[in-house]
Amino acid sequence: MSEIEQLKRRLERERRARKAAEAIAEEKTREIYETNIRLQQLNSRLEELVRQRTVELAAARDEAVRASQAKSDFLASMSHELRTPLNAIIGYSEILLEETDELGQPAIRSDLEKIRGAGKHLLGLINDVLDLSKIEAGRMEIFPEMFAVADMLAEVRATIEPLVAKNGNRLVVEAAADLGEMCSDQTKIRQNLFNLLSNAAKFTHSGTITLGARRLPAADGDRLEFKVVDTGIGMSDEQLPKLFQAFSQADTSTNRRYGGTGLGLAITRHFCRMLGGEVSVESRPGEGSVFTIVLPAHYREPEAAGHAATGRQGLLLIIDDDRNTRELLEAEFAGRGYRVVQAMGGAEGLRLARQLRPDVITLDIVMPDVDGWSVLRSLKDDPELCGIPVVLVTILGDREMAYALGAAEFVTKPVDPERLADVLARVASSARGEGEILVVDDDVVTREVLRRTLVRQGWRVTEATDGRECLERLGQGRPAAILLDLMMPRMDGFEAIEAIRGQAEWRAIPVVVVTAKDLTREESEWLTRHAEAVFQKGAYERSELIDEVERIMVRRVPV
Amino acid sequence: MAKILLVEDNELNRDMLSRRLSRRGHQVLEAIDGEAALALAASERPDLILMDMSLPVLDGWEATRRLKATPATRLIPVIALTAHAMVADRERSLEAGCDDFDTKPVEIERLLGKIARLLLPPGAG
Repeated sequence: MSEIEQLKRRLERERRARKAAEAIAEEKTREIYETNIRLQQLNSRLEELVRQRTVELAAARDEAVRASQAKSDFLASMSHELRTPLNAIIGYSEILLEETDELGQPAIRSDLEKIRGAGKHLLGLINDVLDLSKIEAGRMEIFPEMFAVADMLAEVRATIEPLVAKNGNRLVVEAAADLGEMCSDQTKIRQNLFNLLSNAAKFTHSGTITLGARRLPAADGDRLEFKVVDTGIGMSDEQLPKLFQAFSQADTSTNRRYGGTGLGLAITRHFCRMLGGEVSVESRPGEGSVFTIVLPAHYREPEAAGHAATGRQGLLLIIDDDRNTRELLEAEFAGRGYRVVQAMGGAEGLRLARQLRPDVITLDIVMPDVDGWSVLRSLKDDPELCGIPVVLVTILGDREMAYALGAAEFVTKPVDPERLADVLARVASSARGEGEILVVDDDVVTREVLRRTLVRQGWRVTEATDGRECLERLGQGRPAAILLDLMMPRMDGFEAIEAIRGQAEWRAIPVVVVTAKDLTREESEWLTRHAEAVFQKGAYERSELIDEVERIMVRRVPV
Repeated sequence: MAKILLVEDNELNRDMLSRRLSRRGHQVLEAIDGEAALALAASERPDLILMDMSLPVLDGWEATRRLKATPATRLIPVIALTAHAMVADRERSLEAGCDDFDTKPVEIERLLGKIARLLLPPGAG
């Protein structure tokens, strides 16, 4: 007995120990589970935050781009407005200069010359500002033409010689005999040489300024080298790096002593780079400076390759509550170089459309907050947004779609009992009273209504709450027909139809699609007028959708 | 000296250029838009036309095209006057049929050189 007692006690101890261990394990499992849930929540909050930030950043960047554009536009128009009266000041001072000699009043001549000089200086400043604003706005155009380099140098020499002579300087032109022709923007090259030569003249007194030019042959295309060498005050190593930046002469005292905008060299460097070349400088204080420009003899337009990488091709806004659809579309379009912004619902989509002015919008119709219809209407009613092409990505073409997938018939909610009876009479594989109808709908009220209607009409009814359960029921027995809702969790109606059609033994079961919405004629006409294209979610060929969006994008955002 | 038709809508620019050309002995006719220019060109047959391009009513490009399409005025040389840095305008002016162009503000000596070259009898250049 005592042995049995002992065994019993041991067993009891072991059982308690095991229970304690199980309790601990259970506790741990729960903790892990809860931690997991928390992590998931954190993760999705983090994703949400990142997404928000991304949208905010994109908006801020677009805002900045717009502001910069506005600045450039303002500068361009202001420059024009400033130049008109300035031209009158310069012109009339010149007329008066011509007349003073005839009128015999040489005393006022030097004052008139000061007015004209100041006017011309101001005109130079305005022209530089205009050039720079155009460059910054990306509106400076290149006009390549074929010209003889020697002829251009002769013209430059004739224009610049009086200016060089002012400070008692001598101009020497050393042009190689084989300069030949160049195909580039002559006006800009000339302006570059004027800039360098007038700088040299400004900073040199009683010295020599040399303009040298030679052709550098190369297998990948000849280059031309222009050198402007002066014997002026030169610059220190500290002064050189800032030289080509806008509004920065070697130092501010230079500006006071020598005048000038500080824009000339910045423009020169921009022009050189736009023409595919570069400008460089070497200098020593007290010994003078050497500026060297090297340019391709044949200007080539830059490749448009940058577009794909920078996303300049256009902005796509994806409005869809389904994350998978969004990610899928985003991946496809981002890979093609488009900028893509996602909106999880109608309200957010509208807000982003107003904020970002996308080039194309893809729009889901069935969304929980504001549905696609309302979004589309709001977009088309807004004068500023109505021009944006909208591509519908939707299950809206339910009827065609369901037929295409193999649905036998189609009824709309709220279900009309007579219509339902007609349809079933036509398609069901057995007569009433003998057959069973499988009702698949996630909404319990709809299921209940359908069940009562069907029972009243003499059918037996089984129910399933989504596509997956529908397939399970089919495994248990063959109904005379399936009434199938399209919008369901886990597995929707389309997937269910596909799965049913994929099984040989189920293929013959008639499927009647029950959908919440049928397009009225007005609606479908309105849609045809307002939507660029309609694509059916799930069944569309993805490449077709992408082609469509690209076609619209290219039309709107010429590369 | 020559009879020159100056087409310019800006009063100051027109006055300046007209005075400076007159001072050098040219006879200057003035028009303030493209349509007035066409009328004066037909009735007065000037030796040369200085044409601002951005004009009201009828712009300089269209006025030049019409001048060059009319037998009576086809041979009158036209010098386009365009704003600084408007390279595209210059190219368009040559396409419209202008014989030469110069930029505003005009450098009088350079413009006089261009006028002189176009007024030379054919073959003399």
